[in-house]
Amino acid sequence: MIRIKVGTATCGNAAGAQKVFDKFKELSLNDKDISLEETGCIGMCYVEPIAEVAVSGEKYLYGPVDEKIAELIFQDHVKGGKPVEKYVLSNTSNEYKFNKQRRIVLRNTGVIDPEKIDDYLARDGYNGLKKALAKKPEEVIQIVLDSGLRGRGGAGFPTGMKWKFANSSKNDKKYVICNADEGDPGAFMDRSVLEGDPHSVLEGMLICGYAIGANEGYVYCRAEYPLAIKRLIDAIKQAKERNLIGDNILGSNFSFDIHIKEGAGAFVCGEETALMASVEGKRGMPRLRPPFPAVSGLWTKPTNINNVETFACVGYILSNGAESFNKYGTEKSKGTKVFALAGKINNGGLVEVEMGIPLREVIYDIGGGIKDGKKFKAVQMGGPSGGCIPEHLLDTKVDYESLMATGAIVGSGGMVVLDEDSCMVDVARYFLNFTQNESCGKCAFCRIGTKRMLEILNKICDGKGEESDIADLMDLAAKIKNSSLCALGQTAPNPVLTTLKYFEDEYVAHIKDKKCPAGVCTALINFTINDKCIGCQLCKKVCPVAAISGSAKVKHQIDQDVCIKCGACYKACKISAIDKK
Amino acid sequence: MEEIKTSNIVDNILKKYENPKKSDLSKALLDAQNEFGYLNEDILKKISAYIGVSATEAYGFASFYSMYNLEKPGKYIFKICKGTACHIKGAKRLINEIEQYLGIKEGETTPDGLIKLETSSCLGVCALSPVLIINDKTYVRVNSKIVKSLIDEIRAENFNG
Ligand SMILES: Cc1cc2nc3c(=O)[nH]c(=O)nc-3n(C[C@H](O)[C@H](O)[C@H](O)COP(=O)(O)O)c2cc1C
Ligand code: FES
Repeated sequence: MIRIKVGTATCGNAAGAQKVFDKFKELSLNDKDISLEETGCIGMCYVEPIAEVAVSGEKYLYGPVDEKIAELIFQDHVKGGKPVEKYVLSNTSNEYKFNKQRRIVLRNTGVIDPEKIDDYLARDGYNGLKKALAKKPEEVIQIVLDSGLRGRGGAGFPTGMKWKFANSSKNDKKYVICNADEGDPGAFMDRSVLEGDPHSVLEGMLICGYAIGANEGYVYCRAEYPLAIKRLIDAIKQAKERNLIGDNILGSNFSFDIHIKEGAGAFVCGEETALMASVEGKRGMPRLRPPFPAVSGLWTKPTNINNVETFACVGYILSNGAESFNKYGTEKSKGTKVFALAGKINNGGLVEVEMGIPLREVIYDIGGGIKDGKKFKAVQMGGPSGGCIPEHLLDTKVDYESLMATGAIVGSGGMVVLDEDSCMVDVARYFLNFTQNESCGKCAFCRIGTKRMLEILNKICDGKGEESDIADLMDLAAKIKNSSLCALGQTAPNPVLTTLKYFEDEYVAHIKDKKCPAGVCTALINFTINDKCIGCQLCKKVCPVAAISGSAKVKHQIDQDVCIKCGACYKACKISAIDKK
Repeated sequence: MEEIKTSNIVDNILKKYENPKKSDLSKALLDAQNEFGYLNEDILKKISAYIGVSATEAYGFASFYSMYNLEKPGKYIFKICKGTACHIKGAKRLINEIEQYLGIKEGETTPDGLIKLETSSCLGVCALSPVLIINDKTYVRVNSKIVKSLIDEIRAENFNG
């Protein structure tokens, strides 16, 4: 039997995986010796679409594949038995070895067909649940405590502790919520897990339900993830057919049902109290805690809420023991963490690493370094609540405490790499614009303070900055941090504070010299033509506003009054005859 | 005539919710939006009455979440990502160029009702940025040239065919 697998998660599909799948389907039609399957994201988004061919146990990973290459692979490898070396990414008769990665959360994504529960069961799936049901709830919680697992949604609160609180709240109705809102721009870990291994999340929720004494759960998933929602619905249906969800699960006294709730596009709804308000059908606005959800949550009932990745760890921990998890990581940050690598990096995609690995290894050894041979400038972690880590701190360990010390956070797992062409003031402005838009408006400082900060940043980027601006930004930042009710406002100034801390010179260049060193802020840059110009007229042709004049073979000129600084000429010129300053 | 039809369709959608709870509001609105493409006053009123909340509350709810359209959108909805990864790969300039090409601003629909230009704070395909979704189809690593030719294709298909 020859197995062909195509990765058809959102990223694969966007890169054309469906066409590749259809091609293989067409070619293998009526061939009973070939099984064609779909699988989730293997994490190597930069070489999507990806296909795997397994002939008598020997697996070959191919990418990027298109219809033509699919045909070639089919003829030469599947039919002819000769792998098409040119497109092979990796081959093994075992599990793939991912350089410096350790896969717990992603143990099944890209390996199993997420739409087949049997694939999950064949890889120890629901074994954690079975083991949990044979124990007392308190014993289950102890294992989670011992594993050292901390919440992967951003705050890093010890999961076992949270469960303990919810367990000790006395009430005949309790809820479990899975936070799949994944609102951080630049992050897609949760989407990939839900699309590639939905049962692992459901299993975690079930174990949690048993441990805290709940019999109903909700997955709150953002509506921008239609494929994740579809896979969840299918997975729940299949689990019900196997008596893994429903009444008297696996013959025990434990009953549990899971519903899906689609989020409707508000970042603040990722905050737990806002999320619960949203599930209840209200506007998603955070409320003061305490009472914590463990005491009074959804419809005022005790509720335990965890992130997708947190739940995906739980089944593994229960199945393999606390030690299988806590043997990895640092003293206070145990286990592994999934990161979404994006931005100016060569190998963008999903990686899972042991906690404590130096940032440099993630970016260079796994991520393959910076695109186009450019110079690394910073890595943004933790999205709008996080910060930018500069080059001299690249040896920082990836764990909760070490990252916090830099002013950034582990956050949910987005890592956006910035190179020399990124302007740090512009990045800070970008995040302020985001939080300002997403502030629910309840707290004055979060609502108005972020707006004032944004205005100042806009002014600086427009070349109208004044010397007092930096002090004003710091002052506003401190006030917003201290007087906001939820973490959205409390952390909103972080992108500004970290860029000020590590890249103050860029702010000063904008304010004093009226220059944008990275050449991003259009008000502060000018395009001019230098003496290298040979009058080839390329730039003249691409200029959308006819700002460039000059006849063939004569040095051209840019009319600064007409130029809209779009940079088209700069990109078009093949001999560096255009300066951007 | 049109109104009666709308009303019937809404009735049909609401049938699914036998004992309507407040928490059904979001799903019912979404169902209606999937049917009509947007939510107008009549639809909002009808749904809110059925669920048992005031029309003002339903409006407040729908306007809070960016997912609900309160105006009739274009036939093709362009959603351009301006998340972090896309931003640093030049999403802002891309959006500016598309705005110019279409002659509308972000959030607006072309006068012929063909294309609505929206942005998103992240479409979850960050490793392949910049990202654009047209209706249900995702395009990755786009640039203004690609997007302009997509627009040209759509225009040609709808005006010549
Ligand atoms: C503004 C804001 C947005 C948040 N967004 C998310 C999110 O998208 N996903 C998530 O899991 N947690 C998010 N959180 C954190 C949650 O409030 C909560 O801490 C988390 O879901 C708990 O799960 P964990 O303990 O497993 O991390 C957000 C918090 C804030 C303040
Ligand atoms: S930042 Fe554009 S898809 Fe995530």
